[in-house]
Amino acid sequence: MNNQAVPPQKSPRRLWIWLCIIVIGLAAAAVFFLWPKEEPAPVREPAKGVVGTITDNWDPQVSTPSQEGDTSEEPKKGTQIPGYSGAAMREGDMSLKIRIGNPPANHVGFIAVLKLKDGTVLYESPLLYPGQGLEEVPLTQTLPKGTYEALVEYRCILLEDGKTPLNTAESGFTLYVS
Amino acid sequence: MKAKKVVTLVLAAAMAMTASISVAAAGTRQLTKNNPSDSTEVKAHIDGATGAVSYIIEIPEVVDFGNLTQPETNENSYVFKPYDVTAIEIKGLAKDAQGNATQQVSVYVKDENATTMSSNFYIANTDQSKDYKLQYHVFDIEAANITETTPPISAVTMSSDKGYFLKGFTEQGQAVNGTLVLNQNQLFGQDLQAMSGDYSGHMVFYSEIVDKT
Repeated sequence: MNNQAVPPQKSPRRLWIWLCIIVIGLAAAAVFFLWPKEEPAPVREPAKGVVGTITDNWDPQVSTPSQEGDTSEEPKKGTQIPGYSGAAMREGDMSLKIRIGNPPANHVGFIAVLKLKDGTVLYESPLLYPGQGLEEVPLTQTLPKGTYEALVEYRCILLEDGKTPLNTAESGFTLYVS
Repeated sequence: MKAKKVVTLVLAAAMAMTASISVAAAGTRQLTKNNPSDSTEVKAHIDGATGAVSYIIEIPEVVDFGNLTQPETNENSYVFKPYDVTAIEIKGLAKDAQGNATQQVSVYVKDENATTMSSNFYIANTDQSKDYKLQYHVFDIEAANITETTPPISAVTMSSDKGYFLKGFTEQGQAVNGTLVLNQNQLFGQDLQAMSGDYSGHMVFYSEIVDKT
């Protein structure tokens, strides 16, 4: 006679339950990862170190940089005003990359105001001396997706007293927010 | 034994499902025996809206007619002051197959206080207690070409808040060589003591890149 103890058999029902749980879990994971999601618009922090920084060697750089120490003997003429074809940013951005500045050939100061056609002011600079400018400006507000008519208003100021206004220029462009 | 076979089959099915998940990631399509070919769209975008400076125009700094003189008779007495608006640099304008520009830098001008209802050009006494202003006219041609019947740019209604259209630049170096004209006849018969002082006014130049019409 065989006196060895017979090990108890595991319940098949318990095994089935665990297998079902595993299969259901895998199916749920598949649905979670493959279901298309609409991502919320992120709010981005402005780039550190560049936004709003005024540099003293700003040049329009339309074609070639201006020569330093311009020795041209041409008499003072007028005021050079930069213009733009367009600028772009993403929804949620609190800064805009746009080269705003006072060309070094000028003899007047600028106060540059970035605004929308409806008058909404997005940025206003302090007095910019010739050769001063910015590569990226902080915005007073972000904008929703869309296409906007915008402009940079260049308020020209007499440098001798720092306050007497001169002729003004506005450079219009299209602002794309995606 | 039977239970072991069932377990084996279920685990095999679960592994197959996992494999299909990792292969069929979102945004991809599979080529299979039943779908042996498909297409993929290749896109490219050249972003011109970079915020870079595309052009530079030069505008006059001030409107300065100098010392004005009261005429002795009620006749025209004009003062002419030249001004220039110049396209210093332009780049990136669209061109057609023949190399002709299909875009331009349009320049407009208006008085700083202009509206579409009141759009004349003025210089005003800088002493705010003296409410006097003198009208002047803007021409987009040189003084030598102006006659009594030549219309200034403000002869028509200013239909846009951008101002009066002055010029469409397509190449750097192009310029408007214009003239500002003030008729001193406005001082005839006036109390010069009351009107004395400095007068100043400002023009606003608006520019933008547009398609040529």
